Amino acid sequence: MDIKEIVAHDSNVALIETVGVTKLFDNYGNHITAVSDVSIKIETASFVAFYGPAASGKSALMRILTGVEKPDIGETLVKGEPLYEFSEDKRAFLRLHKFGLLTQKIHQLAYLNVEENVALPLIATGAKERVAIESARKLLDQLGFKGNPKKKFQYQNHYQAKIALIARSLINNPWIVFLDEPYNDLNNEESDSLSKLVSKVNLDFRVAIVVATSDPVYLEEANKIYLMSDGRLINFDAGNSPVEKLKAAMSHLESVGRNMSKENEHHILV
Amino acid sequence: MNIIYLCKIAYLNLSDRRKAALFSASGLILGICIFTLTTGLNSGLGNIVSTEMIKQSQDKAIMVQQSQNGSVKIDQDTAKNIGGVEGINKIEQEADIAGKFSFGGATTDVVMLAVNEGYFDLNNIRLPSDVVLKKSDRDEPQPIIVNSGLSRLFGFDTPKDFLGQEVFADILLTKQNSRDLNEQNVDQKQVELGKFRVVAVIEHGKNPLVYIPHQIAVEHGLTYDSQIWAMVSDPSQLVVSRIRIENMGLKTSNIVDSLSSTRKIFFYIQMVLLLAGLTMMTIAVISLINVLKSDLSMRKGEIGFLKTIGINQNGIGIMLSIENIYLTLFSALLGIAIASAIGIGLNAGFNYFAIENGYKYYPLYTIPVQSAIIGIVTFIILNVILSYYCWYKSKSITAKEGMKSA
Repeated sequence: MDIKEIVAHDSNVALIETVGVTKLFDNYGNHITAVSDVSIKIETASFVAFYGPAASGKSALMRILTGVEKPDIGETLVKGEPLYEFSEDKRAFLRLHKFGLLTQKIHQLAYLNVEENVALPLIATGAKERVAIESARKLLDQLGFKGNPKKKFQYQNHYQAKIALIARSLINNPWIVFLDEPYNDLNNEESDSLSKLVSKVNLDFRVAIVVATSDPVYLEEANKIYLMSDGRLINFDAGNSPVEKLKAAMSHLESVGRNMSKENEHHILV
Repeated sequence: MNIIYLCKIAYLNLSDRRKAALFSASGLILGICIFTLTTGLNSGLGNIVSTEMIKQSQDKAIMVQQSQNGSVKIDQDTAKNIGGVEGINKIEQEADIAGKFSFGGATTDVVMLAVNEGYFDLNNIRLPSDVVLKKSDRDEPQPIIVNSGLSRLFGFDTPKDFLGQEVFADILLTKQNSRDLNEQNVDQKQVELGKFRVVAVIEHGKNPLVYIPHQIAVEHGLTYDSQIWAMVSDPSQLVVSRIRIENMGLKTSNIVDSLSSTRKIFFYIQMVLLLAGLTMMTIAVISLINVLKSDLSMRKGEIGFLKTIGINQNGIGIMLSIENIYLTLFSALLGIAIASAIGIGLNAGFNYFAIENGYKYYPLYTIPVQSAIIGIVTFIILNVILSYYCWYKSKSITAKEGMKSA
């Protein structure tokens, strides 16, 4: 099936599925396993969280899921079609039209203002600039952006900048939005607000959310949590409450000999 | 992504990095400036020289000289025959003779030109309207014209003070200009021409020069002319008339011959300058590529980010190409503007002194058409190279760069 047909295709097949994907990195002659034998399914409008300490392979898995980095072993399917059999440009086409991305670092075009940056993916699909800017403004309002959209990112605080990046990831009505460590650089209050916003986006926009985080506090909204450790994925029954989810996560990490950070211990105690 | 939007973001990107862009383009600006200025000045100088040459002679005149081996000389019969060639409507005879010029007890050796008055028009030498260089039948001193070099030699710093003075002139006949001496096998003979009156002092040449009526020299034994200017009524007949004269065994030339060789010299200079300019620009391009290389490695995050959000390689390649076009266009316009400002300044200075010294206005700085064409072609080639380079380099930057956390 051609990538354009996939984009237009509306089926009940899992949005994204990985089958035994493994990614190795070469570190001065030593092979490091970033992702090891990961098999997951992400359904339409679901909320999936990858939780694990730093360097557990979350970002590497995100890159595999978004079609940015080909796994060494295993298969990644989008709507049932093997993603990496498409060319780089076709995968870019898929990302542009159906994937939204919020990366760890605030990546944007420094010479464009916030609304222009938000509108950029829509303009890239061929929309007129004026129409795209108008859509960007509406979306920013809808998400509660309080900064000045006419100003550049450098004049926004981190929280407002993250809202703008979420708006940018939603501008093309994607199937799925990937958020890699979205709560970094935010204080507790801002992180809470952003967590609620992400959940709202999941429900209001009927868009699947995939969050990679090392902060267990923000797992509450997820309806599926994958624990990652040393590139491996452990799907556990998280129970009903966030505390149960956290305890399950903690006990698993302890069982494999990994400790949570001091900061996260504090969250758990509270 | 549509091309207009790509143009816009390429412009915004460059204006956001104004200083870096200007630095990147500085070598190219300098190269284009030097190239434009040198070729413009060379072209202007070439035009001035050509204009002067055309002005001083006539494009309708054929210069006729004796044959290469001297077997056919220009005597009065030959002159008459040349005048009778089809297409020739007028001839001007000229004999260059060595002579002596005496005034107030002092004598000097001079070059004497035995000519008719039409010679002055032909050589763009302006004579006062009442002056005629023609043998007078009356019993009075014959007219003679001298140049200011000669009048100064006799102590007349103001040339007009020499006017009306009575002088004496002798000519030196040789085997080359006299048939009689040739037949008698006499090497040379000095002949007194008698008394003359200075009727005009002209500003022409630095060395002493004297003009006497041609008829007087003929009457005193001059047989052969040094050269004849044969005028054609229709320039299109020039080649045919030249062939007819050459068929008489004589040698001909025309100002167009000199002009074409002069233009050829300036053309060669222009080619050398173009080559130097192209070399300079090649060096500038190499340094620009180096700057672009480091620029692209600094922009890995930006390019990777664009790929991450789904902009394809084509879009990125076109955006970078547009940036290059802006950069090179800006460099070209700035380089040409600086060169033109310098050229116009030099032109103004040159003409200020020229007009102050009684010369006409000449455009010293003109951008030649071939340089403009070469410039445009170079501009296109340059952009193709730079665009290909950026395209190639940006292709190796993956979307992964846009997902890096630092």
